[in-house]
Amino acid sequence: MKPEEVKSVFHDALDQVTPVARSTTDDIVVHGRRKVRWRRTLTAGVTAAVVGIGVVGVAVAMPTAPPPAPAGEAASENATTGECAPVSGVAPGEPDPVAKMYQDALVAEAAEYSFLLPEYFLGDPRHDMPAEGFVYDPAACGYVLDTVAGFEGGHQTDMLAAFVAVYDPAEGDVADRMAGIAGCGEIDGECEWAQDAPEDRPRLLVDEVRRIQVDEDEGEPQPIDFRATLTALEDGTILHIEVSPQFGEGFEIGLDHTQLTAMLAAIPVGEEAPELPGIPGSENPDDETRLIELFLSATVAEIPGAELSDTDITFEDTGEDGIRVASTTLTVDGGEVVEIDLWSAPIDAPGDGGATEEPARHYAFCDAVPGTECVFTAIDDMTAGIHKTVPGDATELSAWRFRVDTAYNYGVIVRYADASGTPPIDFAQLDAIVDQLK
Amino acid sequence: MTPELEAEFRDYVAARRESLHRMAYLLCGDWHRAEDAVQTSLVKLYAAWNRTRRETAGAYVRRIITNTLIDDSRRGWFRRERVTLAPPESPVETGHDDRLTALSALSALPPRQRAVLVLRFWEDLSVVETARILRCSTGNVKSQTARGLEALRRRYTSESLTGAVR
Repeated sequence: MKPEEVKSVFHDALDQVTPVARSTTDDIVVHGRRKVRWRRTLTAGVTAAVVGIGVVGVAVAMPTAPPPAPAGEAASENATTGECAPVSGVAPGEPDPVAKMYQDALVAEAAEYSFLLPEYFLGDPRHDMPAEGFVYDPAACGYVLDTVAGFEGGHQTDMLAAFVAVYDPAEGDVADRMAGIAGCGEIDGECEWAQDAPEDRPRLLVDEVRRIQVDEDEGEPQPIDFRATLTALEDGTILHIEVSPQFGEGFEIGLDHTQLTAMLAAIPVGEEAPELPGIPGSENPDDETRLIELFLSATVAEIPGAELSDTDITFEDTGEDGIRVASTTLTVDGGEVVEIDLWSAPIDAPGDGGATEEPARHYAFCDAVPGTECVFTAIDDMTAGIHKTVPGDATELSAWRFRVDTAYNYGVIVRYADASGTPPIDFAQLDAIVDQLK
Repeated sequence: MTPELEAEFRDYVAARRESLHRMAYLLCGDWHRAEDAVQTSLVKLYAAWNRTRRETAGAYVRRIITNTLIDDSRRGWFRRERVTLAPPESPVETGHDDRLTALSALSALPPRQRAVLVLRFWEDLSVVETARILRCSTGNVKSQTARGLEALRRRYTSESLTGAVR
């Protein structure tokens, strides 16, 4: 499809419809003002709460205005965008070993106080959080983590909204920067410098109350306790952790300043980060190589007379949900050329529904193309199978295995490469291939 | 924010909101989700207005909208809901006009591919600008573009076979 044809698709999709907004510009400005007030961006560039329009908002902490322009060796500035950038040199969106190192260290230390920072809370859209856990935020000039977490064995109401940041060194007096970040002088609460902290590594302890509109339907904003600890390193790096009860008024903060200080101290700023073990969500390289070898050998074994055009294939990351695809072609007995793909994808929350039809159909993309026929088979408690037929000039056949025991979904797909019709490979052969991918 | 800046912000919202709403709709196919994403982005823009260069405000808002909608679409909870609910725009169920066919074709694209196509061919952004918004490499944008175009082509081929001839 050509670009101009894509534009035509977009025009068709929008044809004869006019978006009607449910809220006005005034609504946006009112919420914007509230957001500014909560975050106190005009005075400090700190953290506060977020409430969306038309949805139930939840108090969470986020970084806002960036600290003063970065300087020193710990940060660099993107010449094109003017934004800060991590010295790790990792491109935006790519896995960052420094972020992973920070997160692992913080999670481990927090667990010492039974404060669990589970992965599944990182990036919960209901809380307007970044999806990646600890990430480098160029607008904040630092690594930030914004999450909600609970205490081991605790009740849901014990949960805390937690914001953690490691701000790059910047120009200016570090104590002034810390006070600015905390909003000292502006807050309804206390800022206190720890007396036992070294002179070149000050520590600021903050306890305050913020009035936050947790629920748009609740009327008046609620007073919510916030506790924050900020520490500075000798190079001007500032570490910041802030917690508040996730469920607002009346709930206690189950962490004291000593514990918050220990969590910040655990973050290994300046240490060399270990290499990441491959792309998250995919098998490690050895497993991938083995999987492709199994796929190729099974293909040759199950399709008599088939000749593979290329056996030196690798997985290609689709960029979507960890789905990886390896493709090759084979020439069958009649001389026709058939494309054959191996799809591999990790299964989210494999224990949620078992090897049942609904998730199996989802992972086989049964609803992606109208007219697709999917036949489900419950193979055992842990494995489900799908036979899929996608109509088209070149009919596409595929066999899928949805395995909750390994939390992986595999599919073997065939279609004619340059001809119309149904490829001369049946589901029994595809089943035999996909069943060997273990 | 000063009254002058706020007035400037209001003008910006008045001028851009509808087009942002359309872009968001193309990204997700749902007017309510689209509006929520646009509102969220504009509220954030308000908070950042006094430190946002006007020439980059559009990119800032697009980035928030796009990533909000992609993140939503990629959540397990959202996907599970989609699995059990047939898209209301399905041409097979409800008819075969161009609009429904287009919506159905777009709904079949993975969210990131869809976003790449919308940013490149609806918003007319360059590969570099698209990569910056999606926080990915230019190579990734190119490959996603190729895959998205191919997926759309296949989808339309399939639509033709099921009666939605364009």
